[in-house]
Amino acid sequence: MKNLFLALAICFSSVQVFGGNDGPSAAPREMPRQTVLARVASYDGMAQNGQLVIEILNNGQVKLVRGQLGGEVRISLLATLSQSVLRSLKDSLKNVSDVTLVDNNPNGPMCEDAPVTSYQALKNGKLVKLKILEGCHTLSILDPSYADHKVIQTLEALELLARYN
Amino acid sequence: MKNLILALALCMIATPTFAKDGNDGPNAAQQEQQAPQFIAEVVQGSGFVPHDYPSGTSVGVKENGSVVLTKFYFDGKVKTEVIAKLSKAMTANLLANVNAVSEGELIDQAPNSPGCMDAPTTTYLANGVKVKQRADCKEYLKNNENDADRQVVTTLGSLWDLANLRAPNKN
Repeated sequence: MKNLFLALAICFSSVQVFGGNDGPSAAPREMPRQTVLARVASYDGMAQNGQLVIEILNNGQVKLVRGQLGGEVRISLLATLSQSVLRSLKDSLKNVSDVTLVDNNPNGPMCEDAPVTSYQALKNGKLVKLKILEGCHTLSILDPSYADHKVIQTLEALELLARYN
Repeated sequence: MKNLILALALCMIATPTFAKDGNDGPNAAQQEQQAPQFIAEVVQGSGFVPHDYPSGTSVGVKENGSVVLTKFYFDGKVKTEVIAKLSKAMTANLLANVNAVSEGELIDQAPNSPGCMDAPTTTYLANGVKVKQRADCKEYLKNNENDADRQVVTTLGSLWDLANLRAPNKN
């Protein structure tokens, strides 16, 4: 069930759907489709918040997609990264790992209804997973590179910004 | 040779251009004398670092949402760079939190624990007023810290991490 919500959240962000009250900072409807450089997708578990997806686009815009449990989806602009920051991110993306993630505590107990969060980055034309929080387990890269750390840290920073604002 | 390096290092630390009390960086001292340039800012004095590294770094948010990374160098140079622009909604939310931070002095949360020297000092400011500080391996918070205080600190912490995408070391 949780995976279904997560899939829906990712789906919302993949399709350029605009709905709800976008507010003054909402992304304009005519915003051209941009390549996603990195993404956080989160299903909030037993909460009313539903889904949260944050995408860093090729033009530096940081898109925020909030899906409510009632089905309403809000898309807005969280921030715009400068060209220099964007360049640094793209440099890091060249060196992110594309490996199978490993459960840090495979024998630890599982849980249900906890948030599921996935951190992804563009590598060789596809989004690869860098870290997953699911079922009270953390799946991560066994031997992460500095670039992996930087991209994950950036996504976590944007996630915090979105959640606290 | 080692003594020469140590003497130079001590000389750099004693230079009054970037320290008022502690190693807050040049901006911290200026904050108390003039209207703050940023609605919220995190300032870090770099502590004991090589001479070609920044003596201090700050990340501040202007009222128009611009996020500015500033690096201060031992030779007096200052480099600034706009690293992002927050949306209007987000800037308004941050401003509301900045205006709602609690009043009161920062208190050492563990006065009997040991301190240290030469570690970076990090200060979180809302409209030029200190909201939180880490200095001498200690943490200073307000006893009546409210949700707005925490949100300002969290937002600044996130922007600091974002700024780390831009060359965290020298230059």
